[in-house]
Amino acid sequence: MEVNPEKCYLCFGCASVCPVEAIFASERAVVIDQEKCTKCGNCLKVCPVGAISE
Amino acid sequence: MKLTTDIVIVGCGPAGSSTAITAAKKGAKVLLVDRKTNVGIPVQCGEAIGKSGATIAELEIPKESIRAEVRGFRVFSPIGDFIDYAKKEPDGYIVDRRVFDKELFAKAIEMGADSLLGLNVLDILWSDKKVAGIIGRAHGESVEIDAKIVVGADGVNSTIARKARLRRFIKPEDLDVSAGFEMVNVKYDDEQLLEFYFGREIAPRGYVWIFPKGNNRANVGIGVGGGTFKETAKLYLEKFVKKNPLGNKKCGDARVIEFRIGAIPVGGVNKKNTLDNLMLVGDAAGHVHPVTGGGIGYAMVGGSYCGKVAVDALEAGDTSDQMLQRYDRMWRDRYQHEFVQGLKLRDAIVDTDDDTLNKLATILQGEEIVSLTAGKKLQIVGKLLATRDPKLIKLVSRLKELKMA
Repeated sequence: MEVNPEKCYLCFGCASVCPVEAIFASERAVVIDQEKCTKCGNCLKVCPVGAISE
Repeated sequence: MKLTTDIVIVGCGPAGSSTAITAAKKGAKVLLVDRKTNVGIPVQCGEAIGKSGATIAELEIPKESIRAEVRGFRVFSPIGDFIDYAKKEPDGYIVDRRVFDKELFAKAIEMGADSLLGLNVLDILWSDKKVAGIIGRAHGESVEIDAKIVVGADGVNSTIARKARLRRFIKPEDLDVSAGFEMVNVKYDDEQLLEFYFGREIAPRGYVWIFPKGNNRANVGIGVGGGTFKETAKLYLEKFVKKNPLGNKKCGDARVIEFRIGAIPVGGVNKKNTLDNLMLVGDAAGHVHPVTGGGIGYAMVGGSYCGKVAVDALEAGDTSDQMLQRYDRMWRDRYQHEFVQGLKLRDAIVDTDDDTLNKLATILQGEEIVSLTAGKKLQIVGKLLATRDPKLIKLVSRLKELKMA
């Protein structure tokens, strides 16, 4: 899973549904830790602007 | 940097500031921290708030933040029939959340609380397996804060809730995501009525709202259930404004002056909101109505109870889970029933097709919608529906399940 920073509005919805704490959210960016990510797709299901892609 | 305080509150939104005002007023040593350096920005909200939450919390809605008064609502079915509910006098407001959050925060500081903004909280500080404070980074420096009580008021993506293992993550279906425009030149029907638009095509398991702010300005937004939508929330909203006949009638000439995005935890209250030396409040605690998505009032009440119990606990020299749980019980005594029913109503709505919604609009009155949302009078409403249209039997049986719960 990857976040397109040009589309992301930093709502942190993706981080709140991540079951493995793979998404780090700061005031400036949302970053997905590829090593922790299990590709469960939760983040994809909730992004309100389509900023996340597989 | 190392700091010491009685109560450290993570998050300067309505929940955190309400907790801080209440505790500081009673003389506790309070430190408010936030990852952001500008409290209240960006706005991630429709900005409607009822009067009752603030009254119960014994807190004031900052006068400077009030943009418009609200008397009630108008709910639209997919084909455009509508149901009104309006009080004689205003019982709520549309506020400017930038000002609202900032003024509540300022009030907390005036009452004697300290603050540290720009602190990214990374973890709970543990001592002998008990909560002893928080650790984080601020302006390139490591920060350790020792506290007798940690309050997690850090929102939907609460670090404190996660690290305390009280809410490790939210299921996608328990998250609503929202997109919102602040617009000019909106032709809303009545300056004091909130408008809600329902329909599977309009907003899957959610609704579109038009909240008037006076002078044809309005917040036009959408909330949709996580995992239920084919398009993004933003696209659903654009479709409503541009292509839906109901939306186009109101917003055809409107122009966007702000775009907002937010995530709302609508899965109900966490099973547990306290540990030894730790309390959760607001969105972090799940204090958001599962149907309306409203949270400010519940957060203010939560903050007020949380602040009171925290000070009582400090004075008694006992900040154990058992002591702090009193706060959670106070909140649940007031709202738990409504939230549990709301959660089931939410699930009934997701199964309701547009035809049924259109029928409901011809049968229900405003008062009945208020009752349903509050989880009350389910049997009476169920009977009414069954009498008026036998085809509504599926929904009626769902309401009966609600009644039994």
